[in-house]
Amino acid sequence: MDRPGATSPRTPPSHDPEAAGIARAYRRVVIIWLIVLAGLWWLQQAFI
Amino acid sequence: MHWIDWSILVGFTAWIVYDGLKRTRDSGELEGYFLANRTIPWWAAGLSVMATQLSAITMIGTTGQGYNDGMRFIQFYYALPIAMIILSVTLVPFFYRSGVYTAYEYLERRFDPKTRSLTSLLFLLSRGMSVGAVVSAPAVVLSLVLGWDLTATALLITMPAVVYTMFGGVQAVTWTDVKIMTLIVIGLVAMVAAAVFGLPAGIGLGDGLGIAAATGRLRSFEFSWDLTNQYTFWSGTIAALFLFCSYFGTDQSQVQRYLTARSEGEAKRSLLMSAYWKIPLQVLVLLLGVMVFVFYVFNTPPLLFSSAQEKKLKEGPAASQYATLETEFASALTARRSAGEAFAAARDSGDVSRLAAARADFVERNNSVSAVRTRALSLVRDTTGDRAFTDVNYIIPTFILTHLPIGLIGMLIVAIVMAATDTIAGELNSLSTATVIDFYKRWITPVGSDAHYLAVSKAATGVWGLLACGVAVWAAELGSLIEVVNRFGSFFYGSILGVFILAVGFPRATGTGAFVGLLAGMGSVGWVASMTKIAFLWHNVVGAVGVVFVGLAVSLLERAVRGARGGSSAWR
Repeated sequence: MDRPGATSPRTPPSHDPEAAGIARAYRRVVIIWLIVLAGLWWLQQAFI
Repeated sequence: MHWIDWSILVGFTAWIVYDGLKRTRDSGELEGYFLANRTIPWWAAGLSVMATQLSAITMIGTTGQGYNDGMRFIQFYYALPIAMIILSVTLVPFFYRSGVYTAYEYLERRFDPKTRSLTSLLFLLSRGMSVGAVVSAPAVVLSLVLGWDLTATALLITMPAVVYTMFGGVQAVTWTDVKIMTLIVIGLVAMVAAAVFGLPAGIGLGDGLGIAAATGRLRSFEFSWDLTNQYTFWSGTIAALFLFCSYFGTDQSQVQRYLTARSEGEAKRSLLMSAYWKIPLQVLVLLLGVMVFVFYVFNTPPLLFSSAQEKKLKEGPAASQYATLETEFASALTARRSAGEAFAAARDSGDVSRLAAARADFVERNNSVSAVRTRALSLVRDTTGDRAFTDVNYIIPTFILTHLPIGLIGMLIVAIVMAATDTIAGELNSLSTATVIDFYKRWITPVGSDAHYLAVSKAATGVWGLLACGVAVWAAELGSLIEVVNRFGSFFYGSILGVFILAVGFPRATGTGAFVGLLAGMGSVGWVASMTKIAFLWHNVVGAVGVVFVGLAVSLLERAVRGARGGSSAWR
């Protein structure tokens, strides 16, 4: 059980739509980054 | 150029200046002039971030690098998306919430005035000189390729930026960046399409990529731990991470772009736009060079892409040597073209052994062509005494002017000119901001009206613009000096990042620690650069790590001295 005052007065990130949106954007960046690197690896290998 | 191309160049430039000047009414006070009253949508701020980084040097130099070396350079950008996430989590919230105009202003709030002034001064020195280089490189190439006067070309590139930045402030810079960035992307796609459609019948995109791969031009991963090799997977993911964190997180020319966003979240989204699009855009830039190489396998390229140097050789004492090289080059090209056609036919046949033999033959023929070109470049170096001569910057302008239709030529020339113009505009705007906010307002006139600071800001933009013009016009004479100054500028990046790491990552670091650490970091980079052959990307790591270690050591020492004296042990 939380002690009084133990929680932050700020809205938790999971309930802040903008912060949650940014967190999703970070995940998308990493996924797209990996896809782009994989694409470049394929381009390097496919035409040898 | 045809009058239609001239009309496109003049018309687009006039429109950009007119549109920039319209923004004057939104820039009536200091926050509007420097930060657009924080009203810019994230996508426009994001495009402005990308446009400021993409200069004419990218359009002519990086594409030429793609022609010569292929995709290898793309490794330089591998860390960029991760750097953007790190900055969004760390520095952006500090900058945005503290309401600063410059990144260095934040350092005074965290540390002290001397740390702020030193970092801002380093920015002014390095960025001030780089503005000259941003103008001079394309000005020299365009003046030689198009037969224009060098001064007139430098003025054509610089003056629109000076005019709309001076009067329209950051609003003008951002919205012209959006238009120019759109033009550049359309131009790059059009050039790649022109190179692919210029291949002869029977040679498809797959054959072209096969030819590029045979010569190693599709290599995008090099897992070498050789620290003297500039472009490897490791330098691109580790060392470049420090460079991008420094460039996008501590360089005012970038920070100012996302400080104009409507909210902290939008500022982060504007940075993430580069995280999504920078690598694909850079792939497009390099792929253009690669496809132009393939295009010239089946179409006749000049022996030297610099027609001015070629003319000098033909009219000089080395004319007979050059004529011999031209004859050898013509027969080498014919053999390479035949080998290229045989390679494409072997790919279609599906016969593995035939394909391997055709590939080996093509590689050999291509090496013969490269060898003749190398001898021609050496002949230029020997006759001119310019040991660093290369025609890499002339490849794409030559392709545009000799193989593309009227109208498209005008659009692409204006894209190259405007790529320089928008970079200069962003840099002039940030130079003016740092000059006024970090020096004039901080040290000379701390109290004054908004109208007064606005007038000084416009004057500062004009003065920096004149300086850029001056450096660019005298580029030919200052060539080696500019290079030295730019190399000197690269000493700062990692070290400045180290100061910001101390600021946000180590609450116990002191102002004196950060200041001494900054000097030590720059010193250590200078030592590594002069005493070793370690590639410059790694200098950023040396600088940042040096600043953090020395900065923390001095901070600890300062605390111990204060404790021994019985003074306050409070940490700033």
